[in-house]
Amino acid sequence: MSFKKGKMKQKTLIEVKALSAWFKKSQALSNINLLIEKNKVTAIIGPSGCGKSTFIRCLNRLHEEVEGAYLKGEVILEGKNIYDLGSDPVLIRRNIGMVFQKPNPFPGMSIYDNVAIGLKLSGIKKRSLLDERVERSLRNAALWKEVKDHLSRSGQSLSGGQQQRLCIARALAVNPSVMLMDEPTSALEPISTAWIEELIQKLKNQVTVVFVTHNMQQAARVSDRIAFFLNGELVEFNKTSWFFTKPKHSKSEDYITGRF
Amino acid sequence: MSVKLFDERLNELKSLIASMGGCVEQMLKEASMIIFQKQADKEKLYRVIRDREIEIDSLQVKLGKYCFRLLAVQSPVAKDLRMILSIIATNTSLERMGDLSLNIAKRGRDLKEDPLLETSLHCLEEMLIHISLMVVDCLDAFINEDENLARQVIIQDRKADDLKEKICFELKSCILKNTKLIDTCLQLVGVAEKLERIGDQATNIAEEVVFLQTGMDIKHQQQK
Ligand SMILES: Nc1ncnc2c1ncn2[C@@H]1O[C@H](COP(=O)(O)OP(=O)(O)OP(=O)(O)O)[C@@H](O)[C@H]1O
Ligand SMILES: [Mg+2]
Repeated sequence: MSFKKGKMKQKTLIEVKALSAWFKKSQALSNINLLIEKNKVTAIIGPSGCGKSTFIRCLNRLHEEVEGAYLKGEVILEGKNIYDLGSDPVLIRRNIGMVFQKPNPFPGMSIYDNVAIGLKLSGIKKRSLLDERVERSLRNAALWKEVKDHLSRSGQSLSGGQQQRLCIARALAVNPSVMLMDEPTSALEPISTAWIEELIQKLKNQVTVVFVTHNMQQAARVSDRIAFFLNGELVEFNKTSWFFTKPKHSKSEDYITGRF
Repeated sequence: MSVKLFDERLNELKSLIASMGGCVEQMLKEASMIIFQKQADKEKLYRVIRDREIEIDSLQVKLGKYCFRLLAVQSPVAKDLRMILSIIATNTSLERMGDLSLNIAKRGRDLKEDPLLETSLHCLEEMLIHISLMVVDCLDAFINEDENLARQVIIQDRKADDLKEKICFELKSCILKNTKLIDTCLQLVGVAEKLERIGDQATNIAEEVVFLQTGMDIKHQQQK
């Protein structure tokens, strides 16, 4: 958190335009418009079922993977709509990485391979280059020291908090420009949570983070911007420091002070 | 702590503020009697005022402690946070007002009487009434979260400053006419100064009300 006034012009990385999303006939998001700034942490908050997960899954084309799910609107990443005809969802998901609530290292795969797999899939074969990128990603995910002596052990042999950092390392390995996280710490105890929170703050220099959380204080601690969703609508998008001191919308006020 | 319980706690804090404010209002009334009522039992009134000041001090400590605990366990945000912050600031202002009122009472105890002082005393009484109204209004504004009333209090502070200037001017000419009155005149200048500071504290409380309602800090913004 900074007390400085934001005089520098913020650079928009993702522009969400008139985004609506459905599961079969039921609408989960209506007309979302939002600018995600580069190298900032944006937290998505709101009550259960308000569309947070759906929203971030629209940002990397995961929504369409659900049977019967579709959407309208645009998600413009660095000037290009990710839903343009001809853009490749796989490449998009590599550039817009995602970490889920439950850590999901690939079963039966070593720690090393969990991180290297994305690189291998993108065509990197040289061992020294792979080694280098794996180490760098594990360091960035603040996991290197704990695993460097047993990289060949199964990823699933790690603790929950370590597994989550492994998943972050896996997503980081391919140099994404955006990292989406859906309740990344809700399955973790306080110390692992603190690790991940610190990590998010460090990561923002290299990658733009959008994360969903139910923990209001976590959103306050970690994010620069807050997007508050309610019933599939974006109620308020604001600087975090403003959102928690003088929210613009009375519904936001009611939600964060528990008077809902 | 549940939201309902938290709201109850906030209301308790507000009623402690109201009690402190009530003490200050009474102190100003009693100080006024000491200065302006010839037949008043000045010593007795002074002791009453002194006891009120002690009561305000203990309320201040109590309130500070409660706010501190509530911040620690509740981590309030938005209006809840602004409310506690403004209670803390108002607590400080009211304690100062108590000190200043006691000081006024002290100065009022042994003033000489003299027909030359009549105009000055008349102005001083006007100022005391003006300040007392500011105090009542800023407390009403705080308790009822009334931003409009708070903004009126802030405007009234200008008149308090003008009244003080006028009193000092009158007292200076008294001294020039009869130097034997110099001690009494200096005490009266002191009273006017303390009243002005009470007005400043009332303004501070009014500014807290604006902060509570808008989230904006409007301190130091009035044109001089
Ligand atoms: N696979 C699905 N099929 C049908 N409806 C779904 C599906 N996933 C979500 N929904 C519905 O879409 C709406 C938004 O769900 P979403 O998962 O985005 O909420 P959320 O804000 O992430 O909630 P939570 O905080 O509980 O994770 C809900 O009404 C939900 O029931
Ligand atoms: Mg969800």
